Amino acid sequence: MRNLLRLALALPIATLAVLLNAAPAQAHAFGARYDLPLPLDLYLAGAGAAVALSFVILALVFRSPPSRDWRLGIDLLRFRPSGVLLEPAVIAIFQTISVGFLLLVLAAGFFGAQDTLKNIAPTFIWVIWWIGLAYVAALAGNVWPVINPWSIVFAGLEKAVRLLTARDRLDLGLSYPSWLGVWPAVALFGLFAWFELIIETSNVPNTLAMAILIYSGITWLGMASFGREVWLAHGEAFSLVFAILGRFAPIDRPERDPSDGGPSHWYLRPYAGGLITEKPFRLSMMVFVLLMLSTVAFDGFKETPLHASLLEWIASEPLFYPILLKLHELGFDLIATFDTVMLALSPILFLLIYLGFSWLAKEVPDSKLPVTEIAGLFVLSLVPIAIAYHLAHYLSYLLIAGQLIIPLASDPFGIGWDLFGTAGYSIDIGIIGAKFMWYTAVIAIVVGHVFAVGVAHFIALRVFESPSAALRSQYPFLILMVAYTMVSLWILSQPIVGGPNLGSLRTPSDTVILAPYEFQELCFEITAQDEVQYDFRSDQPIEFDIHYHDGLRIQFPVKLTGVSAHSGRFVSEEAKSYCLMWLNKNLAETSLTYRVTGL
Amino acid sequence: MLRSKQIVIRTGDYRGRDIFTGVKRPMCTYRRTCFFWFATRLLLPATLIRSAVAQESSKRVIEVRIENRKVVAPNEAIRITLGAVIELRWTSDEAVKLHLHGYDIELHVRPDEPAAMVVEAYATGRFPVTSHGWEDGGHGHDALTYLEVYPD
Repeated sequence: MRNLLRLALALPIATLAVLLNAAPAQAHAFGARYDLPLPLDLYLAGAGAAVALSFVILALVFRSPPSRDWRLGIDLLRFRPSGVLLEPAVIAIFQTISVGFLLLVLAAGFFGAQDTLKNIAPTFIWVIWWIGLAYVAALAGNVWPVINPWSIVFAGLEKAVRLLTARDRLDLGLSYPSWLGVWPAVALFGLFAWFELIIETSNVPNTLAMAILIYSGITWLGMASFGREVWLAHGEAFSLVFAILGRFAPIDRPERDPSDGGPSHWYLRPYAGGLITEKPFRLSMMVFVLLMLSTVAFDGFKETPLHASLLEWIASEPLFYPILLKLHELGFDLIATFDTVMLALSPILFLLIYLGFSWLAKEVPDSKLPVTEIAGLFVLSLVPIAIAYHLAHYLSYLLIAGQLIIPLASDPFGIGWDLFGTAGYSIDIGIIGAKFMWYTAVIAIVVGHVFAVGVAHFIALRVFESPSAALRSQYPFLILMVAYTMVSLWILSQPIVGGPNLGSLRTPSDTVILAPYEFQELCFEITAQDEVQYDFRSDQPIEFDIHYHDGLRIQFPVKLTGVSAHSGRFVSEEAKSYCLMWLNKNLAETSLTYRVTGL
Repeated sequence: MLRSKQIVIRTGDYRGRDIFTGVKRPMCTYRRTCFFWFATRLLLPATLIRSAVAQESSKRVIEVRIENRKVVAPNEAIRITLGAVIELRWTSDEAVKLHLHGYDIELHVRPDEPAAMVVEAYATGRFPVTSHGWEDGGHGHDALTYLEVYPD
């Protein structure tokens, strides 16, 4: 047990250290998206429709809050196809398959070909599971509690322990501290988003499998300490993610985990019915929801030209130069560092904006409710906008990159198998047209916005003292939602660009050994009034100059002798070709390390 | 700011992250996958889906010029409509191996010697053209330009 604990603690730290040095990602975790930007007229039409429909909803004054029970009273277990699907024996088959997939992905990741496209692990995890299951959870129902492989394995072990030994439970039964809330899940989801969006190697099968193994270890450790149910509710990030998405879905999640035996009930309800909260969320849960929303937004923002020019501006701003140089010296990848900072700041920004609007929602109707309670009550009303944006953003990705699973199913390890005869399938990039994509995206976002406004309005009717106070509380939230919807549409209207072209961050740097009287020269063309920064150090004092050729003469704007370390900046007077030169006039060889920035 | 050609900037290996290799045949090739192909087309309204077969039209020639490892002409993305058949005629002041993603066409361009790739625009989208290697081994996957195929 102690060894297990030590291993579980050591592994994340070790990989964190490895991953910190990894190169940055250019786009989403894996694969390329070829989406055309949303045309301006559609963008404006979508935005206009969102604003107009918001007022239509507010104009339809609901006098009384809707009934507390959103279920339509249709128990899916009573019907043939769904009833059979939810039989314990059938569910046991699904659960076995799910655990089988976890093992397959781990095996493929560790032992299969290490080519992203030839190994089933990246496609299965990033496209089928992460994007695909989110679609299922939001549009059909949250199936994750049933097929969560970590939960299934732990429950199976628990059952075995109960049968074989006198012990009643497998976990240590530690009591979960109440102040901890869902903070463990917040931390784990933050790490996951960082891994997905910023770490380039997250699509390398080996790294991915290692990350899954570490996450499995953490999850089982949490379950072993506090009990399975407790950890699923507070620490297993994906249970929380899919549960939040599943609140939008028309199928209510089961009352009890069917793996515990006994019939569970699956009810139908209207879309978004589950988002109408009864009790305010605690701060940690609220932060979790906002973290989900902000990472989804950051994912889109990362591919916009604005993001690229923001990074280029930071890179060219002399103010930041010393910090950048220091970070570069310490071995940080600058783009990844920027993106990490931005990813970390985005939920804080979301939280501040959201709390600000919550405060307005309290002040405008002059409610007695504390701001934290209002914020905790309404946070889920933003979820439909995020879901709509997510669906719009990933539809073509799911349909195009998702096709990769067809050849990979036949050859999951990338070792030349052809199990189903599909190994040679080549994917069709024309499977959906841009027009279909655009209309789907705009309709999804407008519908999502309408759901969000509706959900907030229903919550307000329940919470506030009078319908008129409820209505007044909605004006601030309406502004927030329109803004959020506009941002979503704006991201979709931006052309997808690869990584920023960080000219200034590309620093020619090298360490060379100079033999006696050997020189090293670095020449470049720059325009007038351009600035180049340089620094170097060497074992022994050497000669350094910056020169240019003026006809047959050589001019030396900078000339130093006998320096062993120097840093400086050079501003060109006119556009021409300049050279930096180092010359070793010693009798012994010397090592020279230089770096030039600004080219 | 002009970036000097003499400075060799080496970036990391191309990791194959721009994924869609082997997209030569747009149609289904195997019986099992044909089911998938047809199923997706039956589910979506036919008017919104373009046939994978490019329409007959006269071939348009678009000249693209690379200087100093940058596309200098045309200035913006290359825009065409679905169904068009175009010839991208590349000239470069440095030998380069180009890759049009999505359509997955590779082309080796020698210095100051035009080389052409023919694109039958059967799928809409915004497809990057990247270099898969310069003369001196310099290697980058920043997009040189984009080919944008719009619906008609």
